[in-house]
Amino acid sequence: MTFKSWHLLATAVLLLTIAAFWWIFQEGKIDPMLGSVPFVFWTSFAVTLLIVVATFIGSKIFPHQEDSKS
Amino acid sequence: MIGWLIFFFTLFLASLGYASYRSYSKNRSSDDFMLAGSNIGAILGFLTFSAALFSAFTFMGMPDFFRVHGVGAWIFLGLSDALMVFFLLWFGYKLRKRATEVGYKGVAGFVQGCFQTQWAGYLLFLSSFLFLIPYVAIQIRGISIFLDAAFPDLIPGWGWASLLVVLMLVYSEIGGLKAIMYSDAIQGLIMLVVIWIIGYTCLQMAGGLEAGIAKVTESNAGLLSLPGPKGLFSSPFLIASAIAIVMIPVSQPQFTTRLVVMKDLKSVHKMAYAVGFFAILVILPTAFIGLYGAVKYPDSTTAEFLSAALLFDQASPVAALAVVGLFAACLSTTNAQIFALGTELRSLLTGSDKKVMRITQVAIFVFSIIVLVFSTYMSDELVLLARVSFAGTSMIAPVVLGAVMFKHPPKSLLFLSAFALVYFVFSLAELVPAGFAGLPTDAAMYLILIPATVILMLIHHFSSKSSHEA
Repeated sequence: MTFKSWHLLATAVLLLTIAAFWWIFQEGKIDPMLGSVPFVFWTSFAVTLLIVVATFIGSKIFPHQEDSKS
Repeated sequence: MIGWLIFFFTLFLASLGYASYRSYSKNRSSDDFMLAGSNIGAILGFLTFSAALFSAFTFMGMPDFFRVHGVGAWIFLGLSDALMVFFLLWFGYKLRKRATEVGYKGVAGFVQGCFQTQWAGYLLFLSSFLFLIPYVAIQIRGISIFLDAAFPDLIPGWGWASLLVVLMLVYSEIGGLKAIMYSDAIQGLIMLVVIWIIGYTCLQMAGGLEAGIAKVTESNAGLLSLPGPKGLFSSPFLIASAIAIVMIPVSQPQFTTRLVVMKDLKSVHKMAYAVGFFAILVILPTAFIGLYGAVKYPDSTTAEFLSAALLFDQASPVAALAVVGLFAACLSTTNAQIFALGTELRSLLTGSDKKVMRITQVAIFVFSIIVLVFSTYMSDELVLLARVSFAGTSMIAPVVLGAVMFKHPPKSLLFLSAFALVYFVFSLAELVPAGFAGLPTDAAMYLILIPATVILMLIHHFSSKSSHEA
């Protein structure tokens, strides 16, 4: 279960990154704005936040453990 | 302001002195000195990693990047840092596992042990030396420009640079890596507080977020979208930057070593997401400062804009705190990198502990002098120079990744990285074509380097599997 969750999470982060660079971050696009914040800024901020939250989740479900340090 | 400056500097120097005193131990081994006893917890680990990562170039370069090139600067650093911390979850585990198996004194010694050849170690050291020296010099250059512009009649630029290097040498030679880590913690906290105070003030002076963006829309709408008014933030540039930044913990030894010397894997993982949140908190106010610059100082030079936004437009205590914060930011990144060069050299040396330690301490002094001299000959493009350094060191990433992933890593990775490194250096010297098909050198290199690394690793994986089966 943990391995599966970790692989799912890693795949989701990879797909989100690819989607962001290939489809979301388009040149010359300002709209739709969020309040007064231009499109590229709020979308890239949201993607960043999602990935950092994914890192937090990943730290909880990471499947491997460390042997006691020699 | 001078009164406030003396007050905050005294406080800062006193805390550095205390950190050195706490870290000093008379009967320490070279491992205690260079690797801080390998027992660093999550909080200290997160602060030292963040402080080494966010430096003068974040504090000064990023506001200028937002001001000149626009909102894409968030993707350039914020998003790339988030990807890096996610990657740390896996890389931290693999690195620590291999380090336990083969031993760790530094990345150069580590890959030398994994590849069973001295050339691997030499290659790592060469890469670190070639690209960390300019990176450290960037920091010193940055702070010298700023302080020289802020206090033109006090002491010359080289005087500030020398003061920084002397200070760094004194407390790192007294307290070793542990003193550096404590000073990083102090610096990280100062930086976060200072950058938010300045960011908030700048946002107010720009008339608030909505009014500021409305003014920028009228004057230079290109700042609000990709690729920015000067066309810098193209997709190849942003993707190549993201790869270079994700590879920082792999290819920059000051970060790799910090992952190894942490207490356990749990601490590494806590540190990873803490650095991610810290990155968001530190980079966001630089966007506000950049917005203020785009509104009020669109045509000023970097030094004029920074000295105005960070000093002259601020209240005296804030301006004084900014000077100390910048000085501390610069100091912590600089000492992390120079000390890392010492660690790398030490990991390649053999002989008695005392002799190795003495050579390392002398080498740290020599590296500092080289950096000091180099910093006087650099250009002022701080962020772009930092990026060249990230990209340059990332050419060596296949070697470190091979070392952590395989018990007997393929030597072909050494040839691949050596070729990439030489080509990258030659392209900087304009001896070979820089990039192809309209791509910048690093993006073009990754286009070859990544598939080649994957293919070599797959061939090695399947060939070693079939030889075991036979």
